[in-house]
Amino acid sequence: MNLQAYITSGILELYVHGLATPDEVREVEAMAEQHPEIRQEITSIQRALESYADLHGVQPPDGLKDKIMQRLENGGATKGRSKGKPAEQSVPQPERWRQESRETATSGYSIASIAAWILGLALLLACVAVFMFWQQAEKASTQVQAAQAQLEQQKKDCEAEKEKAKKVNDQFYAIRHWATKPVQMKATPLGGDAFAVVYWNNIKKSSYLDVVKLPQPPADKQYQLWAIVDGKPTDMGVFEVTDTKDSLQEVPFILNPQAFAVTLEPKGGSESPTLDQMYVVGAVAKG
Amino acid sequence: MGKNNYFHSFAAVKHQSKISMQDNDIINALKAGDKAALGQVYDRYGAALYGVVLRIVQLPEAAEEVVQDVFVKIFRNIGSFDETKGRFYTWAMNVARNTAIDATRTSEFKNRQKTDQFEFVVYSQSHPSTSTAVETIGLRELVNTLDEKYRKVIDLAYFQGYTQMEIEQEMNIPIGTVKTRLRLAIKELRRIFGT
Repeated sequence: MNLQAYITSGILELYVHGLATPDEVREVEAMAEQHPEIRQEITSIQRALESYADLHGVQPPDGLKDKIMQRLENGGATKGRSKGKPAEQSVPQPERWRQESRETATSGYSIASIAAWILGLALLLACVAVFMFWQQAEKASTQVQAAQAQLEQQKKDCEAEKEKAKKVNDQFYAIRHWATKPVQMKATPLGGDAFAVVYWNNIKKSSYLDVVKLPQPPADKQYQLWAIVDGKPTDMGVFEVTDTKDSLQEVPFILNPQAFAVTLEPKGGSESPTLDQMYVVGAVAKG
Repeated sequence: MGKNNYFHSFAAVKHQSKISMQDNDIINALKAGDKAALGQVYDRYGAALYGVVLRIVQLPEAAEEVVQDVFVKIFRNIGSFDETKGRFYTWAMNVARNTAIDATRTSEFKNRQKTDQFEFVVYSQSHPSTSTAVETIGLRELVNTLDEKYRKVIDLAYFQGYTQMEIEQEMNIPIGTVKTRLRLAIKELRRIFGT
C-alpha cells in the first residue's frame, strides 16, 4: 500500500479524533505497527491536538487536587457512574461503537432468582434513599450558592458606594482649598430665584460647578455654562439640573475668567450664548 | 510572517520536548504505584482534562466529581497504557472524555442539567487557564485565525465526543467533508504548534 496516499487520505485524523469505525481502527493500528512513518504521523497529530487542548484548559476549583489525593488514600473507589471498562488504549472510543447487547431472558424460577429479586429490590430502595439524600444535599448547595452570589453582589454595591463617597470627599477638600474662589452666579430677571456657583482654583487648576437652583428646562433645551475671557464667551459644556444633586460637576479649567454665566440653549448646546436666555451670571472677584 | 512562525514553532517544540521527559518519569512512577506521581499529572494536565470534562458535562459541580473519577481511573489503569502505542496525554484525554460522556448518560445527571445550564458559560469565562505566558497568548491568537468550521469539527469530535453521525447531523455535512476538514484543521494546527 502506498504509504503517502494512506497518510493523506485523512484516515489517521479520523482515528485520532475517535471517529474511525472498529474495522478502520484495527487497520490503522496494524499499519502503525508495521510502518514507523505511520506511527510518527499519528504521534504528530496527537501532539497537535494536545497543544490545542492546552489552550482550552480551564482552571479547576481549589481543593480538587487534595480531594483526588484523598480518594487515592482511601482506596480509590470511583462513583461507578461509568461503565467500568478501562479506556483501552488501542481503541480510542470503545463506548461509542459498542453495540448494546441484550442478554436473552432466561425463563423459569428458582430460589436463586427470587433471592436475586429481593436483593435487587432492597438495593433499589437503598438507591432511592441515597438519591433523596443527594437531592437534599443539592438543594442546600444551591442555597449556599445563592447566598454566595448575593454576598458578591453586596460587595460590589459596597465598592461602588465607597467610590462615590471618595469622589465627594475629594471635591469637599477641593472647595476648602485656600486658593479656591467661589464665583456666585446670581439670577437675571429671567432667572427668577435661580442660583449657581462655580468653584475656580488657579493653583490646583480645577473648576467645579454647583447647580444650587435652576428651573427644569423644556425637553428640547439644555443649560450651558460659559466663561467670559477677554470679553468673549468660552463654552464650558452643557449639563442637567440634576447633575449636581449629590456631588459637584467638574468643568473645564480656563485661565483668567472674568465671569461665568449659564444660558438656556437648544439641546446639545450652541456655539455662542443666546444672551436673552441667560439665567444666572456672576463676576470673578479680582485678587 | 516567517519570523513569527519560527518563534511559535520554537516555543511549541521547546514546550513539547520538556513535557516528554517529564511524562516518561511520571508514567514509570505511576506504574510503580507512586501516588505522588498522580499529583504531577494533575499539575500538568489538570486544567486541560477539567476543561474537556466541563465542556461535556457543563455543570462545574458535576465536572468536579467526574474529574476525580478520571484521575482515579488513570491511576488504576495505568498498567494498560503502553507507551510504544501512543502518548500519555492523549490516553488521559480519552479517559476524561469517555468518563464524562458516560456521566451525562445517567438519569441522575439529566435531572440536574435542566436547571443549571447557564453556570457553565459563566464559570468557564471566569476561570480560564491561567497561563499568561507570551507564548500562550500568541498561540491562542494564531489558533483563533483557524476558520470556525475547522475549529467546530475538532471541538465536536475531540472535545465533545460526537460520533460520525452526530457530526454529520449537527453540521449538515457528509463524512467525506468531515474527513477533509479534519485533515486541513490538523495541518494548520501542526503548522502553528510545529509538530
